Amino acid sequence: MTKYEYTYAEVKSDRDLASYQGVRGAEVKAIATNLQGSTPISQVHRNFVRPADDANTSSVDNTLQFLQAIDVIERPTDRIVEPIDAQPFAEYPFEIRILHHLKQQQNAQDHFARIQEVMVRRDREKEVRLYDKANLKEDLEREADDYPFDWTIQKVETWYNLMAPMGLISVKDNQEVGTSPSPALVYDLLDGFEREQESNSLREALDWIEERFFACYASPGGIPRVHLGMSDTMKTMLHDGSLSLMSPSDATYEVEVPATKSERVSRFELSERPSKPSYRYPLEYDEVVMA
Amino acid sequence: MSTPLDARPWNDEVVRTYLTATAQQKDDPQRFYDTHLDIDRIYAKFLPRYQDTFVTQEQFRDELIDSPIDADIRTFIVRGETGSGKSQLCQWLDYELDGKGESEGVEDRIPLHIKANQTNIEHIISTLAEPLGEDPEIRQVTELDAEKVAEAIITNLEANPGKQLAEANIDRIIQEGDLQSMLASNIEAYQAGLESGDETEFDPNLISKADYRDIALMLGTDSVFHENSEVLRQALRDEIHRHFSHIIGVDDFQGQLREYTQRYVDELDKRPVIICEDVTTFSVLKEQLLDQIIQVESATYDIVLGYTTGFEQDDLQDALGNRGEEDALTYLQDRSEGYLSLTQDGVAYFLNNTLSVDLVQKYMNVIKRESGAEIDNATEAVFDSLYPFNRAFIQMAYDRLLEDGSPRRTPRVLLQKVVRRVLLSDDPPYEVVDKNPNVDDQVTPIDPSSYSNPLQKLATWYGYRDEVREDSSDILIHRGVLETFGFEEDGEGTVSHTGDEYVVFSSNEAATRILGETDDSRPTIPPTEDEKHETDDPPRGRTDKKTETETTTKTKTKREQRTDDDEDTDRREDQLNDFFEWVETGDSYPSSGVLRSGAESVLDMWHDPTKLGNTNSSRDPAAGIYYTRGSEVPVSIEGPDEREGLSVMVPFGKEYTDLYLELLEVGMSEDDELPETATVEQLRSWATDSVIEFRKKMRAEIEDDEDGCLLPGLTIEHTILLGKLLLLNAEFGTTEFDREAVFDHRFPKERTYESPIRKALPDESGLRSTLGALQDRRKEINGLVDGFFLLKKNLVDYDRLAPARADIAADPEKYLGLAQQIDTEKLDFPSAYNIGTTRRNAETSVESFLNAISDYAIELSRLSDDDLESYFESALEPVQRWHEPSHRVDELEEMLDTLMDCLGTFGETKLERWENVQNQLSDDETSIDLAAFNETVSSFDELEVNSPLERIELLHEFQTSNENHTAWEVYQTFDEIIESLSQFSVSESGDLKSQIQELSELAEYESSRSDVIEAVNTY
Repeated sequence: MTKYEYTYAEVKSDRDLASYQGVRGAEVKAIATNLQGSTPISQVHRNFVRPADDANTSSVDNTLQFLQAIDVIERPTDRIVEPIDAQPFAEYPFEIRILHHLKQQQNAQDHFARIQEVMVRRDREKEVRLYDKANLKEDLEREADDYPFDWTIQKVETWYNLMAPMGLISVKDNQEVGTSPSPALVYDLLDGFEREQESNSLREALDWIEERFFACYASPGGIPRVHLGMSDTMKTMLHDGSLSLMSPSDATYEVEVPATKSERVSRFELSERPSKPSYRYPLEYDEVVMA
Repeated sequence: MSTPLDARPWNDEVVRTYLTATAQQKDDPQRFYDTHLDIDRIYAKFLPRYQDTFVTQEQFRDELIDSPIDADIRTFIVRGETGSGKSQLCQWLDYELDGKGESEGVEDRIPLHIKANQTNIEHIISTLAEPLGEDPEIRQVTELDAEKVAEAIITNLEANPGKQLAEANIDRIIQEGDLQSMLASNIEAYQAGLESGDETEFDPNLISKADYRDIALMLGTDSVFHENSEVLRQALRDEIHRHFSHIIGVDDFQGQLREYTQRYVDELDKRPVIICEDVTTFSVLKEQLLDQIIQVESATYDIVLGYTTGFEQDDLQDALGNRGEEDALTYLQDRSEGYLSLTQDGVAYFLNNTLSVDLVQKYMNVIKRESGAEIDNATEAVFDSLYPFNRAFIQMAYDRLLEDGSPRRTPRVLLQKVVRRVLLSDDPPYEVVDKNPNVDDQVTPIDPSSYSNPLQKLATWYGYRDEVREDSSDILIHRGVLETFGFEEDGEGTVSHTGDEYVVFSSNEAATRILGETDDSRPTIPPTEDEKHETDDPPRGRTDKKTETETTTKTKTKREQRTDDDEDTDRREDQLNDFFEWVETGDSYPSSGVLRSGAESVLDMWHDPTKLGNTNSSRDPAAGIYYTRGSEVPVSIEGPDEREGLSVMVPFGKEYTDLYLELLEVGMSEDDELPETATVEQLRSWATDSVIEFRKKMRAEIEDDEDGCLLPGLTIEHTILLGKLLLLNAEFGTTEFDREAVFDHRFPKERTYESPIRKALPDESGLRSTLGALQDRRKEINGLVDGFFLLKKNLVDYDRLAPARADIAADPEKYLGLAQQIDTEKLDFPSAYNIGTTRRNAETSVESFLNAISDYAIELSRLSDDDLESYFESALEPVQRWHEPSHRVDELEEMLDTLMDCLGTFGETKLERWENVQNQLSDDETSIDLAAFNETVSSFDELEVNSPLERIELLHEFQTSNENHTAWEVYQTFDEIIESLSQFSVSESGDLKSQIQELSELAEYESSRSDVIEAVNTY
């Protein structure tokens, strides 16, 4: 297990995460990873606000507020922000940490993780690879109506604008949510699980991801069925040779991976991480080589 | 076991004998019956006792002989497409009526069989007369002199043209149209045709439609021959043929016909049955023969008239001429006792894919027997007693028979175009059939990504669907078949059925998905009821009958049900075949456009594939660099379809099959959308890898260390920022490149002073013209700054901006030097790189953008201290002459007052601007910051600039100072006044105070002097 306990920011806004319209993964990561220790907000502004006579700080301020809401930073005084160090999975990529933070949110703020769960937990015949945002909103209204707010298309958009850059999903034409996590994310998580737990049980690994990061199973009961989206990512990784799945005949703790030919899978094995761009997180796609 | 690659066990001559267009085995009853497959499914539109139903050959025979010997003429029409079994049926009737078969009750019939290849007039009359022992004298047409025959016809025509032609003035045609030579030439052609024995190759008409048209045209389009061409052509042809038949001595064909047929009844007590295999092959005189045959009244014979479908209504009409109100076919039908069809839409009714196996087996048995071929029983058993074919092979091939690209499932195509070719080839049967143009291409049934190409082909023709195991979609191939062809394959395991071992192969799921249907035309193991054959029994003889129901209940496969509307499915099948061929070999790929289009669409789904910019920016639109070569996202299909310049390469290789099949599906879909079954993540990962690789290539083209147009150390980001700095420097004198400067998008008009560059340098200077070009790129520079370095409208991409900006800010000289060496000629396709916010609007070339920066950088570096000094000189001179750092404002004011007084003393005019300066000096509200002026002026005085950017900065400072510091004007004014008073002064001193003092003393003196003069004058 990771050596740190999760710390909640002491003071934070209870504004719904999905209402941070316009806050996107790109600036969340850019600002969060730029903060080293206690930093005056003026410094953050200096770095990130586009200079102008009437410089507009609201985008940066909103992003800071969001980061505070998900326990990435504290704001000890009005003028200072500082990262909350010693959070779990500190040694993991930023994207994975954010997913963990979202999974840790309490009360109504758990709705970010819930959206993904609603998307994934589906009957076999209702599983989709591309989820229309209007359908997702409709399903949220149907299956996640216990929140003190109404679901809107804007909330769904805010969610996917934050989650796609983390590699949890993808977005096509600003209309459809691709339900597969990126190979980078799945590789890092399986790799992390293997190192931490010294196990190659696929089901244990997916249970671990389910508990700490995001939903993997379309149906978690009995022999769990991995969601089509996740299964597609695994199929892609199998094809790339970065992942192997095995089903020893004497296995007991298994999962169903629809994309594989064998009905039940119990073990996984990772090979060397491919150098292909698809194994980078979306925000790292651009290759800018500075002389 | 021997393989077909070894010596073939059958004799090529035997194969050729049995499998030919004019099946010679028909001449030998034994051979005929050995190879005859009962024609038990003939559609009877009507027969005396049947209506709209299928009849067997026997039922037809019974109808045919069911009449008293002396009954009147009865006509039976049998239509069918070429090779559909018409002549087979006729031959069978011939033998049966002749007592060579097993038919009973035929003793009082005599068949007179006019074969399709014996339809000239001599043959017909001989056939009719021969059983009577008659040898009628008919002049051999081939022995006649064509010229003389033509001459005779013309003579007869002139003498007796008939009513219609006489009225139309036939002489014109004969004379002006040169009918005689045309006839002579046609008769020669006709003779040649008869001698060659190939009667289908020439027009049996002595005057064709084309001939008539030529003649009519010669007579002019206003002639009656042109206007009434249809009637007159027929009349002319009939007359020509009438005279011709007279000349060759058959003018009373009808009489002969009646005579001979009556004699059979009278002398032999038999009723003749004339069997015309195919009236469409009747050569010259066809119309007369037909006319006479069907018009004979009170004659006693039956006639079977075969005619080939496609013998169109028009031709029939033409042959039969007008029949009052009725069209020719209706006329014929109305007078016939039976009307039967052997085919519909290119498919022989009596044959189906299971019966086709029987047919081939009959032929193979005879061929093997006659060749003395020894094929061991084990091999025959493995091949369903069809070696070198098997049941699957024949059924699959039969279902896919083609002629001229259209389905044509007839015995002839199967036997002569498929079986024969395989038997006469040295290549393995699956290769031969695969290349056969008479067999439609077939997508392999086994997973192409797992198995070799030869095995795929083998499986295509020899593989069965697995119905042994429940829910299996696998393909089974008999172990023995694999071994015979030299394949050592273990597939995915084996399955046993009735003692036979089959190797299991995974099915081609992608093809099933793409084609939207499983290939249920592929036979199964175990066979269905329809397909069951006791394959090791000897071939069934004539007694082996099927009831009608047995032959008609077989359900049609999806393939058989395909209509013209399903052309798409056929096309997709072809496209799949092309694809499978290419992905394995990289060879030709005729339909590569489908894969390319799919790839283009997928690349576009998650990315702006040809854009180099900041993908993390949410700004829409944000400017970037686009690769705009070609109309679409450039995609190359490795091998056959590669693009010039940069492109996303789609390499061939079996390992990509799964992925490409999904691309192909997108390419095939109408709206280029992802099919529901697509592995979206696989496509997205591919698109991501491809797009990023493509952008990397774009970047390399521009900034690669070796070949790029930017020198090492200068990135695109640096260049954009440098462009920004140069522009700001030129327009505002900026040298410090901080964050504010990066996003300082001010326009020159916002500047409070005039352009120092314009003031300092002449119009034609290089710097000024290159600055103009740089300013023309302002939109692109600012656009790219925002596009590359902003994440959102008000949020900077710090990580990307900070290092590049710091580099330039720290050493702008270095980047200015690098920019001078930009070489846009190193871009492979310079016009391909363009700047814009979308691919469509990207119209400014990167070339012009880089050249603007580079050219300006070069001119800027040439700007020298001398350029500045010569510009500063005129302004600096008065200052240098009169300025003292110690001057105070009140001193200057006092000095100017004194000077102005002197002007008055010497009677010089005071210029208005001098007075303005005087007023400013005395005005307390005007600030004259002499300390600042002192500081500025020293920097212009002794140039201490290190860099071109600083020189520009200095020009701006000078311009600002010049426009803002009144002191410049003060000293200028001093200089001008002193200059104007210098006529009164002599001193060479450059010191302002002493000059003024001198002037002042001079003024005093002058004043005194003028007082004296004035006093003297007054006095």
